[in-house]
Amino acid sequence: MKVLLVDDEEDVREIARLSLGRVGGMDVCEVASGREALAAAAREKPDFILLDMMMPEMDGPATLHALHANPETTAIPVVFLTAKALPSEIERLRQLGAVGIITKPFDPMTLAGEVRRLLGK
Amino acid sequence: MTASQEPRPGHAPAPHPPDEAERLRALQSLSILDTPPEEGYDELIALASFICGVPIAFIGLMDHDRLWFKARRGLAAAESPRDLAFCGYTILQSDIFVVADTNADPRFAGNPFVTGEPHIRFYAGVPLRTPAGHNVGTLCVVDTKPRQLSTQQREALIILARQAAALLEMRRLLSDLRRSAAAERQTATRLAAIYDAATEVAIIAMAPDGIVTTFNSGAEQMLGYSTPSLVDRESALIFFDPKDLQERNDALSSVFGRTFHGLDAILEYARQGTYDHREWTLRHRDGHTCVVDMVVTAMHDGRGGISGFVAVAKDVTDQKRAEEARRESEEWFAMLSEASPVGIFRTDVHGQCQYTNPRWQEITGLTLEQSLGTGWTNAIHHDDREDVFARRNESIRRGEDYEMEFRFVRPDGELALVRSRTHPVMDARNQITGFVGIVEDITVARQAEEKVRASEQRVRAILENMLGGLITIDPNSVITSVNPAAERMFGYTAEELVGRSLATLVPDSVGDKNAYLQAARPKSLGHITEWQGQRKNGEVFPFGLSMFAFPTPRGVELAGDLRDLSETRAAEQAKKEFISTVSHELRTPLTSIRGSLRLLSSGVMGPLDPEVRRMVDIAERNSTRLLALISDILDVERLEGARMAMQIGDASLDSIFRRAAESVAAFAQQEKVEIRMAPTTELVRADEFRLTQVLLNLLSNAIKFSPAGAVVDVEARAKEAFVEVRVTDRGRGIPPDGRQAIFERFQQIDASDSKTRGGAGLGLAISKAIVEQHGGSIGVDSEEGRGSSFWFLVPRVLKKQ
Repeated sequence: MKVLLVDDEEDVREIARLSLGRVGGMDVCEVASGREALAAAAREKPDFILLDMMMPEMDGPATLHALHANPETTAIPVVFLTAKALPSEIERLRQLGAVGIITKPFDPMTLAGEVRRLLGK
Repeated sequence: MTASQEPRPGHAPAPHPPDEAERLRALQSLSILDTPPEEGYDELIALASFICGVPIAFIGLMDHDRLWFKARRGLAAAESPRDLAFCGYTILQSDIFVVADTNADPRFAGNPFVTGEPHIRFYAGVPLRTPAGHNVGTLCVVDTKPRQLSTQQREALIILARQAAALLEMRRLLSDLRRSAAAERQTATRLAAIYDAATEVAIIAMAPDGIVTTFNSGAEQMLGYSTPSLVDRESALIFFDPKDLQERNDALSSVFGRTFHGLDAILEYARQGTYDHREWTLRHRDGHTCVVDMVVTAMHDGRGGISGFVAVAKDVTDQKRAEEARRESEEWFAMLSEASPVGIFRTDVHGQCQYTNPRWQEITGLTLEQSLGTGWTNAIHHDDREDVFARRNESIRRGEDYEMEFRFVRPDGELALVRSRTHPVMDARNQITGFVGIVEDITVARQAEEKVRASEQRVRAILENMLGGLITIDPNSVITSVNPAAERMFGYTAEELVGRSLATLVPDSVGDKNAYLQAARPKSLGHITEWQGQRKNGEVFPFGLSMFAFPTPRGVELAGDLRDLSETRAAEQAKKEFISTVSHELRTPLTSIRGSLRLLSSGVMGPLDPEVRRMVDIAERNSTRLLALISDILDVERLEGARMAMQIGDASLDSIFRRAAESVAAFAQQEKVEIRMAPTTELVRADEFRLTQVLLNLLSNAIKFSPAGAVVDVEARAKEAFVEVRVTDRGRGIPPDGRQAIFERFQQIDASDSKTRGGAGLGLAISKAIVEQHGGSIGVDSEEGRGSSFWFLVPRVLKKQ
């Protein structure tokens, strides 16, 4: 299973890479911004994208919108990663078309399993 | 001849007789002076002159300054001055006065009638004496030469004089007779006129047998009979009720010891020479009756007999009725006055009190006796007296009613404030004869008024100066008042709002304004809830509203207490954003820290040296605490803003118990604490998730503070409209001064407590906020060294029986 990891925080990216890759056995490629994510998604054709909410310039929802706008990437499921754990916020993101939301801080030992559960795989 | 002559030698006028005044009156009563000659008198002097053989004879009447001749012979003059008349001497004595030779008598020798015409030398006169003994005149014979009278001549003269006196007496009687006849005629005419004029009075004359002889027009009117049909025909009996007569006759019988019949009843006293005066009921011809005041007297025939009776009757029916009415009205007044709730008084024009009623006495504390005369003025407050008298004097001047307020001081020293209304009483000539009036005690009313006024002023001051807006509306949502704070809040003046619908203040954005208002009412009665308002400038803003209903004479009105929340909301928003940002900013690095530590502790990164592992555990545990702290801060912030979304529904308390127990099971096991739950079937009105959070909190605390092997009890029981949930531990308890503080934020009993659980001391503050949002309450009972029992109350769902 191939995952595209999008987060502007390098430390978070590293923890997530280890969680998904070493613990979860996934094929992980990572980028640090929404803009990079659009290109990477089209190029790499990942099975899903783990997309951080709060990023400079192009944030999570904007990136999701752009991904959906592109026929090449529109079908790729997106799971949001967010530090805002408010129930209202979670509901808003779900309505944007995300298949799931994972709140920070996440448990690196269960992250991959959680994602699989959200994707139904 | 002149009236007055100088006294001269040989002339002495006679003195007046001692009865001169009576004598003159007797003469006047004869009405004879200056009347024409009469045959009877002329014949007498003709006889006298013939008998005595003298040329001159006369009958003279001695007036107060002259001698007037009723009959004369041989004399030219009709009268002579009194002081020259010989007759002055004659009337001083009772029989004949003779001067045989005037020249030989010093009283007369110088008399002008002797020395001049008619040259009297002889005089003889006899007084004319009335039956009462007054000498009113003389019969005289005179000669121009001295002479003597024979005895026969003297006696003849005396007889002639007596005849003349008899003629005079006859004349007097005739004249009296004539006068009294005229008077009688006059009286009769006058009486007839009076009879006819006396239409108000019935005059009925009766013959001794009671047959009517006179029936005046007043009687015709009163009794309905005509005079011709009655007079000399009918008996007065027909006017009376036989029963009345019988009663009266019986009464007379018992007085006089004889039997009386018929008209005796009205005539008996008149027969006895007095009169009978009493009320009778007479019958009119048409059958109706009238009450009369009747006097009956007897008429006498002058020979000691009774020629008839006269009854004079006055109709007093109306008078009777008026009397009855007056008596009744007086009784009425007395009754009313005695029972009157206002004081009533009457004074004369000088202020002398003549009457006070019981209420007046009650108000002033005076007795009736104390109030009379000037007594009442003593009760007037010293400072008010002048005013009271001044107003009365003004009323006397103007003749007008007046109203005033003044104070009485009761004997016990208490003041009575009264309002009086005084009315001058006038007589028929519009003169004020006194005053009547009423007084009302308005002490209590005035005090109440003042209290109301003070309360009004207080309320007004509060309303005008309070910071909160206050708007009142009537049942139709029409604004009835707006205070200045509400004016400022909405930007309208009170004048612009009062009378308009409350919808004016509701923004268009809410859609159906009336539905919005309808919804606000039940939600805000007794609670503070948040609503949207629109200012005059169109700005929409949030405000907190608490309503209460209050009754007014026009119906139940509603008052809304309003707080402008726009600034609060802005501040809250800023705070929320700040906290949200901070927590996010904290979570991001925490993600890396915890992720790293977790990966290390899990062994994914390779096996760890035990000492390293212990350090990693410490770091991991504290990162967990830090995370919990951040979560708590967010929770508290949300709760305090009272905006934590609650999903209230009917929730099973048992399922809440079980879910909480599951969550703490691992922790309990680790701490070796047994959780014992009493089964419950209660349902509560609650947000299940939040209430579980509360119970979880209390259980965590209980486990945390329980010694190993101890039991924590959880139980629920119904308390009226609430369910009480208790979590009881056997820990060390909480000192009394800490029992309140632990529900405050960041409070723990002992700073060392914070090490055990990853809490910031916010758990109980959050629990309190949640429970209170449910309309419940939370608290703790504790005994130091024995444990604590935390409880909370939440609304209970009342099961249908």
